[in-house]
Amino acid sequence: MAVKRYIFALTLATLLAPSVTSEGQAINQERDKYTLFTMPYNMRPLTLYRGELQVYAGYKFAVRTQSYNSDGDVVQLKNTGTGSVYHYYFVDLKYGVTSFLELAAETNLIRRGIRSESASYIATTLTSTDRISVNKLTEVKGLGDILLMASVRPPIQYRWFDFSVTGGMFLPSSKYEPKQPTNSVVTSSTAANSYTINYHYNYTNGYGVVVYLLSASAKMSVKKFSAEADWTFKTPQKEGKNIRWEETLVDKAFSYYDKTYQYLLSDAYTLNTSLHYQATGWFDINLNGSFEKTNGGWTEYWGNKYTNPETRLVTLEPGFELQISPKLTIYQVAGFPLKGKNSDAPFYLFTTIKFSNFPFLR
Amino acid sequence: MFCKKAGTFAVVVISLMIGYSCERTDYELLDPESAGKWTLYTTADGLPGNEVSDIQLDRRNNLWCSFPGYGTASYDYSTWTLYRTATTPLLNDYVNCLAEASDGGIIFGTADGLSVLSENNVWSSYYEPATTLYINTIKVASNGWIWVGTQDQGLYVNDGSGYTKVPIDSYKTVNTIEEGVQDNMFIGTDSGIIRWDGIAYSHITMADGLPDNKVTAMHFDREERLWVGTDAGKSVSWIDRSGIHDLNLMTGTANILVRDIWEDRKGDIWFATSGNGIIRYDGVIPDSFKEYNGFFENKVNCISEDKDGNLWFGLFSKGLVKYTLPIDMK
Repeated sequence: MAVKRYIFALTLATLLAPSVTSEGQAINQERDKYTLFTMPYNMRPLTLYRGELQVYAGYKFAVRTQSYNSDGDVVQLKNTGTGSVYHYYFVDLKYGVTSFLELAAETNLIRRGIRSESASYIATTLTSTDRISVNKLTEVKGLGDILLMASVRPPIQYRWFDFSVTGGMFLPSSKYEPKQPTNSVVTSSTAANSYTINYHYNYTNGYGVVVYLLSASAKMSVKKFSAEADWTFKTPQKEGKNIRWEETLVDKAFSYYDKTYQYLLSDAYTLNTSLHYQATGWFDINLNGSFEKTNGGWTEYWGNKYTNPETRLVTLEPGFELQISPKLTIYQVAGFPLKGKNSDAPFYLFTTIKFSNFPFLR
Repeated sequence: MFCKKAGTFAVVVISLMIGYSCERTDYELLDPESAGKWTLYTTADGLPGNEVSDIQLDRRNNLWCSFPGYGTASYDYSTWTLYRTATTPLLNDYVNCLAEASDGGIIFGTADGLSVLSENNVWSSYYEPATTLYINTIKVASNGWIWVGTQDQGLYVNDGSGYTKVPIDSYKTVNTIEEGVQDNMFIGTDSGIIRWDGIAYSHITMADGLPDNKVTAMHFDREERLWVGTDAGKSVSWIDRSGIHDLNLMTGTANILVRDIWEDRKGDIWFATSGNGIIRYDGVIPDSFKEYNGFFENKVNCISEDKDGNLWFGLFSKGLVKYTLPIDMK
């Protein structure tokens, strides 16, 4: 196994190494930064120009009204009382070291709460009625891990075809262990044997281990039309350890203890294919098809290791790119889930603002 | 020159990342679809009878079950091996309870005394010629002593030198025996709990807060709580260092007969009841599994666990149920 992976790594290095020893396109390229700022999508290479700095800030608002079960059937979450929305923010910083090498750093913030349908436990005897009402809120909140990436492309000027390879890693910089639950008990003032339990679980947003990323992109343009395909693979470096919180209710007061478990994150694959139409120099509309899949990995439960369920999701994403000034561009995408398995199926709106600059170029 | 170095550096970084990305160990993995599933085994699956009075996992990971009237059987997760009086020296086919001795032998508590099957398949037995020794319960303590509770004949103990009757007045029937911390033994009788601390006996009864004096099941959990189930009352008790506590099992019945208590790997406490199915207590809420919500039978005799942490429930008349603990793939 180890030999195979080193052969693979060596082969990749051998294939890519000659490409980076050639002269880059930047040397002969015209360095008028306003021309570069306003370069339309169908004329841009896959990586940044030398010296170009881009800052992305994005916000995704997702409405989670349905999911796909293990048979691929749609489950309406309103029927199970677990519909929710979530908010996803991200920032991305990219810099073109050369016109064929780009470095990037990215992180995100998630805020999401799932309120489950209330349940009641009632026990009635001839002399008394005992009632426990249960509410459950599962909250996921916090910064994600920092993703560092490096992308390379052929050192030739973009005309109608381009491709790039990206390597990166998620550094386990954020908190990944869930915080202690903040459950509460509300006693009924009218019925002595009745009370309400409010579960409040607090999850975080980190992987807990280093996750590697490998991505390959290809782009082709014909006049005002372009097509792009991106394939991304993510895999964890190693197994991780995390905790689960357990609670005990004694005399209407919660006490908590945690249990450690092991896990191996699933490998994740994403394939995006998009068609673009450059309507004007400052407006591009596109239709993206996204296929996401995870498989492999496991999670330990009570001493046994269970395979992580394979997940799949196909999403259609119409969107546009609008350049509102030489340095500012807005991206807007709407996501419509089409098909999936073991996966949430959110509808979402994703808005991103890009700021470009050449900080070291006069 | 800088560009050349930077490009080479990037390629090396990518290659190293891939090279080191497969730091994995192969484990035996379970299918998540198998979690949370109930499976019923009956005589159609090879069981000698559909009444199961006790279940025990031995050190070789075989599951032993006792079938009153039909002897006993061991299960290696593929086939059942049956042991009956017709083919073995078992004292009586009416086997109530069983336990594994510290030497690996299996002890069977029958309606006529004790039978023992050693690891090398040699049978032996203990019975009282002058009286009927109807065995209710067997507990092998951590020091290897074998404690035996009987119907109307009190308590016996074997400290390695043979069985002797423990002389405790007014406690004739022993239903359940459990070991606590520091070698404390708790003996559940029809008249409360007798606690033996190695030197003296003390008593815990309704006057101290038990729901009923007829103690039918006990279990000492990882939190060092002694769970106590009785023949009546709508609750169970647990005893810890701070005293006796009460847990309302929320069954809607005034009296619950608890037949067995078990703590699963997750830490949930399970109660087998006669008439109210099984009840799972997750530390906060007791939740019932009865015939009305899909369980197989309301009368459940016993609970135990196999090598993988699956729970096994012995039913009163409908066989044996296996339950794989549920998982929550968040």
